[in-house]
Amino acid sequence: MSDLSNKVAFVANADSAIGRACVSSLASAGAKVCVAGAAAQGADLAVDVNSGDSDAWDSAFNICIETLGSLDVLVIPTSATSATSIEETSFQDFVSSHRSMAVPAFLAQNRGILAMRTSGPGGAVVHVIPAAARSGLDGAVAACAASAGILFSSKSAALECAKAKDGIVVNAVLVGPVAGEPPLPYPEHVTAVPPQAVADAVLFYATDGAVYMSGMDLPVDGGFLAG
Amino acid sequence: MTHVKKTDQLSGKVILITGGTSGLGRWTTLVTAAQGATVVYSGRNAEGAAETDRRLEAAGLKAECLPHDVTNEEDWRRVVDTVVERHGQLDGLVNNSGVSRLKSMDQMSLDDLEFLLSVNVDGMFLGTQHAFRVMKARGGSIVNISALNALRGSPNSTGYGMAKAGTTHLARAAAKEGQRYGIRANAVHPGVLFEDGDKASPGAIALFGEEGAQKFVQFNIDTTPLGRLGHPRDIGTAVAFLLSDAARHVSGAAVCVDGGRMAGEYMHHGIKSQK
Repeated sequence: MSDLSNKVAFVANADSAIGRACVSSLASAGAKVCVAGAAAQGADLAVDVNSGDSDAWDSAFNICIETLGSLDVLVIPTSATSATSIEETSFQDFVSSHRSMAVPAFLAQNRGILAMRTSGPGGAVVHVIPAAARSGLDGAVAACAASAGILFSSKSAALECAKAKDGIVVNAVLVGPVAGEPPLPYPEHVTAVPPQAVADAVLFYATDGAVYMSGMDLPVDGGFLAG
Repeated sequence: MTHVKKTDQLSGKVILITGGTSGLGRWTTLVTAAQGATVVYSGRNAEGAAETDRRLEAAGLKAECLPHDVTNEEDWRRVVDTVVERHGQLDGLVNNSGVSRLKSMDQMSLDDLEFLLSVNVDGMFLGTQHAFRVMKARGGSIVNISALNALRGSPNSTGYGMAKAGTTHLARAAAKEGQRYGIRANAVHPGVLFEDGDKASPGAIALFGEEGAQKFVQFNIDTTPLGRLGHPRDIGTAVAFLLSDAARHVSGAAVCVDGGRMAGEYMHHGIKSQK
């Protein structure tokens, strides 16, 4: 079992299926957990964040650090919010799926890294992003764009943290269809992954075992991205 | 020093690791044994095996060694059958044995290329095939140790890069074909590794001379975003994760444990400053 005792984890989008599984895994591994969302089971603290508001994220991370003493692991699961074709996607729809997917992930990552730097040495940021970040899907123009945006922002953040020598590593888990998450138009033969399997991969990144990995994306997709 | 964290992540699993007689294979043997697996490692070097055994013993661990030439199909049959006879199953195979020969385009001969392909590609192909033979009944996990050269071009590594690209692709293909049997396959791409501080390895010294080797080490530190070389234990830990049930839906992945080298343009800055 991975050991995260004495660590504080923050889970964004904690009301999602993946978020809930991560909260329970992180808590089982001994971490104190703060969630953005309603109090997910096993969490020590819940904060309310208007996810498009930079100040709200700052305040959420501050409350986490003040109350639980630190910020060591930040998990940012992004759920797909649209699965529409070119014809169905108005400019407004495109913008709104960025607002609901990419913007909260960017803000949580960026404000989270800054907060992590104030709370002590090192840390692990783990994004969970639809595999649409690395594969086109027929009928998901906006979700693919937003997912890819988050993935490459995470790689950029990994390089920036490395250069700053702040000890923070930034990685991503890429997921295919996940039970309980909003669906994307994956090919029919791609089987759904249980949220717990995603949480297990998140836990791998969150522990000291992955200290030499940064800017890496790990597919938990049953082989979908392999071809 | 041999520090490995003991867990039960791999308890109940029987794992075969090729090239466990040196470097990365030795550390993967140590890490997987420390995580509770029944480990058989193979190799050709008796002195190396003695050192692996010594490290295992120092850490209070055990693993069995079998002599093994990975380019020989009969050897593969014997080694895989022996593991199954003695331990009842094979849950994990780490195709680790590999060779490197760095030469410029005009220096590299067809013999060099064939040598690189035979160990790096033929060996892993045979391993995958024989693992499939015994894993089909109950599933399993195969991990190919590849290299960053498989994912990007670099000077003096035409043959090595071609061969390692083959090992990465072999894992992808095996992932697709293995899906129906519950067999997973992944490739791991280590960054530049060290075991003994940031000192140049004997291999690098033989290639570049004492001073050149130290420059080579510094160059690799400068071009690694995290600013340090990797330890073989870091790679072994990622391999252990891929072998474990925690990675039960991870297949066909190209996993980089590289200090962030593949994250972006960082390494090119280093190359520029080297000129």
